[in-house]
Amino acid sequence: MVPEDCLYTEDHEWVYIEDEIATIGISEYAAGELGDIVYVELPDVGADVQQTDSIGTIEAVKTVAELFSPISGKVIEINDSLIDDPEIINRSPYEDGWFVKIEMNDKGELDNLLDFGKYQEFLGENH
Amino acid sequence: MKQWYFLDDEDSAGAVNMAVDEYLLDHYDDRGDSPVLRLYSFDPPAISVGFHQVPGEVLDLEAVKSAGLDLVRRITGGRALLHDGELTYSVTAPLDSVFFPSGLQETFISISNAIVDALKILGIDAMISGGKAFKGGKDTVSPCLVSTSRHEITAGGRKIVGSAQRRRSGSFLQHGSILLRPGSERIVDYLRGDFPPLSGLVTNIEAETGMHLTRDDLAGAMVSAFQQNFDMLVEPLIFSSEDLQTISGMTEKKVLESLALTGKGVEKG
Repeated sequence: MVPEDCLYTEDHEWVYIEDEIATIGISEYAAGELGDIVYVELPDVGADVQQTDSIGTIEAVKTVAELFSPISGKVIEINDSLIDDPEIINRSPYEDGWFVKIEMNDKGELDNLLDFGKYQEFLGENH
Repeated sequence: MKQWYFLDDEDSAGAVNMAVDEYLLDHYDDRGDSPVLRLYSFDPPAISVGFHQVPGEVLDLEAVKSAGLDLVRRITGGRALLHDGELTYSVTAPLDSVFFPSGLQETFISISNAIVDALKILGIDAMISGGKAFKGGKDTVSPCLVSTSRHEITAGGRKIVGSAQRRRSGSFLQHGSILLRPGSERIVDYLRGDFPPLSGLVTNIEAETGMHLTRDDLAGAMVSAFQQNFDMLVEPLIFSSEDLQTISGMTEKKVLESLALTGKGVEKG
């Protein structure tokens, strides 16, 4: 998976879609802004979430940021390896540093997300 | 010029102080685009732990209880901090505020610049530390003041302000402790494990100026420096009775959480 294949939110999360499954992480820009990530709190597997719900927190050395669900659905898998080694997110934000996988309820919600080009524009305008 | 709100708050218990900061973050959009600068201190002195810290793992809870300190959890990151002989600031604003760049680090720098200027008004040669990222790793016990992370404020190479931030979808809160006189460095007395004295790593306004400046001296310098840096009009923030009622409810929850943190009540679920 490469960043160009993902959709994005303005909260700097990426979403990679494979069939009905959305894999979610944070962008390289967000990981760089946060710095060394020291703690990650993830949702329970089986949790039903709505688009924009808070589904966890990410703590860097001095900052706590919330993780929001980019889409509605059911959490089917979380990346347990982040619990023991959260710096994976800094090392590999688009591959090993994924957070959760969600089985989507409504693919129409993807229309609310930015494609790679739009996300780059958003970064250029706002950062 | 655009408006900021200023809340020069009275000294309060840790639960009240944390409830007000969280209220300001929760209700940031009640005030349009106007950020809030709040200044406050802790009475009695309190230890605050970072959002994800487990107090029993990092603190000697018996020592905390014996000393009569409050124990509270911040909604921000970082490690344990003793609020004694200091003035805490908090800045709350929408993420798209005209006063701040939207990036986390740039926001940190713009607020730090204003605090550095406040310290300069008091005659302190303060600066923003030079981008050294602290490698904390699994060390979550050592005190907040021992780490000088990116963009923190030092004087003579020693830390004089410790700050942390919480970011939500539409807003952020940054708060931090400005060390007025000795006190905060005693955090090592309450940590699990042996830590060397922090005196070589931490300084304070009294040590840097040789004068006993008051919290009001520092508050005045903060307002002047923020006005200069952000070109802002300052309006006092006055809570409505409805605001105060909500804050009171949040405080009650924080008091219960505080009791649980010290092992006096039911542990947070």
